[in-house]
Amino acid sequence: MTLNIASPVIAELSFVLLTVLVFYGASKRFGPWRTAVFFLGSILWTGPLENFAVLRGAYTYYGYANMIYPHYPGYLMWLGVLPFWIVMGWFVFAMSGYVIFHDVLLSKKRALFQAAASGLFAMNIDLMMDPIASSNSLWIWLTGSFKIYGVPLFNFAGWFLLIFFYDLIASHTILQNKALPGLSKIESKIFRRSSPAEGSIDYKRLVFRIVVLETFVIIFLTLLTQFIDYIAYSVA
Amino acid sequence: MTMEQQTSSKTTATRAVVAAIFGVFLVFLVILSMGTPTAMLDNRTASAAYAVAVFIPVAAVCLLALARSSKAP
Repeated sequence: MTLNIASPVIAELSFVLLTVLVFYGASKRFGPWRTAVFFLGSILWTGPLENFAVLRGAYTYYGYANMIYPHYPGYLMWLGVLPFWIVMGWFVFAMSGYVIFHDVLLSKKRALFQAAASGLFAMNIDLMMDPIASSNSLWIWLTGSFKIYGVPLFNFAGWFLLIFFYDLIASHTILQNKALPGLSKIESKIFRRSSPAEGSIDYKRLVFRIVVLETFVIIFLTLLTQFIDYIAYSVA
Repeated sequence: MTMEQQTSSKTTATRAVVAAIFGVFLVFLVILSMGTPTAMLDNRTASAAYAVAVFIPVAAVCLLALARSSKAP
């Protein structure tokens, strides 16, 4: 395996620039404050989940540790055991999917359909990205889970689910204010207002929705991984 | 916000996100060209051909969005 120490530097710096570009475009459309909340929400959405996966031993981001100088962790900015450019990447993909499908291509369709399209779009990008990134050790898959193209199958399901649910959260809480189907009954018992106020972001509701749906995604992905491995290794 | 302003802001946002998606694609092609081919393909040309092939639907969606974003809502 040929590792080029410029690769993590290029990845990290590029994603900073791409984040700035997407932030600029989105703030023209939705305003800087809502775009900032979307960005912070994506940190809260993916940060704990990815940290959980790394600490559980599914993968690691330390492929380039100690390569530039001793104790250099491989990237400059971190959020726990997760490089910050990964979180920026989630923001870039989530916001891109939102703009493309909610605002332009499927603006008259249901939110569920728009979120599903956004999830598939992101998964398609990862089909290009993940084999290159993992073979170049930008991240290293440690799990023994069933793999295609050197990437665990559950990863692609994870990409779809993460973007799908965050798209729903954003479209119902950050960029628009709507009751989220499935959670509205629980929310009416927890929050004083039965539905969010018009024109403002309900931050408590945002955090609640992120925490509940993130817990659901973690449990669902864990079970799905077991199921995929059981089927794949039984057949093999 | 007038309809013209709405269309203009939508076009700006779409241009930015489409540029970013193509940027991601270019970044990973550069990383591939400097580093290791993908695990399932043992040379860089084949790996790049795979990346391009997989990116075609994404590019198509992006270009379609770009074309439609300038139309009034």
